[in-house]
Amino acid sequence: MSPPLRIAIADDESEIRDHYSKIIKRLGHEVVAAVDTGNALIEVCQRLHPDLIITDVHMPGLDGDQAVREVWKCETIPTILISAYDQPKDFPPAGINVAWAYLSKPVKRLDFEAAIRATMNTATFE
Amino acid sequence: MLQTINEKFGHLRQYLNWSVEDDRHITQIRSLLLPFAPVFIEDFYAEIVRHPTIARVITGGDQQIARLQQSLLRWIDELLSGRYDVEYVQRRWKVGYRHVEIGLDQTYVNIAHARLRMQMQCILLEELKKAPDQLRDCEITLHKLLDLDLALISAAYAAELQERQHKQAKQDERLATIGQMITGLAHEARNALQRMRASTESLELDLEEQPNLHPDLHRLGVAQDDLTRLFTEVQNYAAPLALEREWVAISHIAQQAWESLTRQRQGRDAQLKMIIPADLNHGNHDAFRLQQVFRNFFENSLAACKDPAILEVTAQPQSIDGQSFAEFRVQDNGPGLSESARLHVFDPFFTTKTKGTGLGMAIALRIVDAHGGRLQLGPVGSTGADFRLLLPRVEHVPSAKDRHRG
Repeated sequence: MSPPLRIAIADDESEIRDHYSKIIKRLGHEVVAAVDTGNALIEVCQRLHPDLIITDVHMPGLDGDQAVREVWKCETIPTILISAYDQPKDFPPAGINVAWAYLSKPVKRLDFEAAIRATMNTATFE
Repeated sequence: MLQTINEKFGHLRQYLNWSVEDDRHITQIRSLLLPFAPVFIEDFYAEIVRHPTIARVITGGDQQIARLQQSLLRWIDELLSGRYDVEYVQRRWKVGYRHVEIGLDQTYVNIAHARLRMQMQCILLEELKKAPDQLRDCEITLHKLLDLDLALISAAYAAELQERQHKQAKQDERLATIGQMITGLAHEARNALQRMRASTESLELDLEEQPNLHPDLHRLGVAQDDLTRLFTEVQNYAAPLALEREWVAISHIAQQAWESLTRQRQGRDAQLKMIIPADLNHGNHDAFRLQQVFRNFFENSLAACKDPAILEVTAQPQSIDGQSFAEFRVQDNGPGLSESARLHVFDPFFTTKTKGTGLGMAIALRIVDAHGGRLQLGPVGSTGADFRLLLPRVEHVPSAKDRHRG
């Protein structure tokens, strides 16, 4: 059993944040922050240094992928992007070596769990 | 519109110096030409039926030709009437418009006009050969008159073209708006679906100890899957198509498509037979997209065929307009396509299944088009469904992707 992960989640819809939190906790990991904007995501990442970011792309204010780009400037935290839209262009930005995954909404629990495992495996491998 | 045409006609008459002299000559021309009209009208239509491209617009056989001969006689009678008022302009313009409506290229109208002119001129030459001055005057007037008439016909063509372009632009605009709306709708729906999915799965986790409720939750999940698939298809249809080509074998693509239908084949006696010659098998295609095309064929066949269902993919070389294609025939032993299905099978939202978006074949057509290929139906009377997928044959130039794959 791998050690529990400290995960930050961002989504502007509370049902979704609650759901992700529930799954993450069931997997034995810890949700260190659940926020609803890109700016808040940057702030918690800089303060709490989570092991993994799970974020929606489209959010009020700063989008999830933009927030992650900002975070990665200081620390390449593995990331799972989730969106109802197409995968953001030029993501991840060139020259950045980081484990990441993209999931298209609606996401099934099994896919969500698999993405966490796959991203962390890649991160560990790197 | 008519006001403009009428004014234009007036200007043109002035430009050609139409005078009372011309009015006088018309009376003479009329008396010389009208007796011969039935003869050259007969000759005129005899010539038309000798030219398939022009004769194509005559669909009613001899009866229609007889009617057209009458119309042409009226046309000549009116042309030479000497009354060139607003009503005249209106009627001549309508004659032009009628030719536009039946889809006759303006070139042919011009040529037909030239032929009538030539016939009329020959009669004048013959009848006035002993009166060269009169001949010259009559010829000049006849040319002015016919040129004015041709100007009216051209105006009708120009007006129709403008109208058609305007309609097309409106239609494109409307389709673009609908497309954007649907894409937006599908995106928004995905967010709502995500909340539904989240709530359903949360419930599933909470109700792990109550297995009696699991079938209901499962049904909820299936309904959400169906809705998700519907939106995915609509988005696929609306989104621009960018191909990722690689050197692939059609047999492999078709096999993958067949294997992806395990659920649909469960409990069925269904068989896929493939006979594809090696030299036609490979091509520079988007494997993922073409798999969608084959999957769509197979899904439809499985829905239409009774067991034992036999699906066949065969291939032969084909040449169209000098271009080489590999033609893949996908046939089954089902009931085949009805007359209405044949007409609409590639239309978006057409479906014969009770469950289905009706976008499958429309998407397949887009994918095949993007490959520079063609998607067609086999001939009427084929037993079972018979689709023909034609893909261009190209030389293999290894790409970076192929090399990467080893």
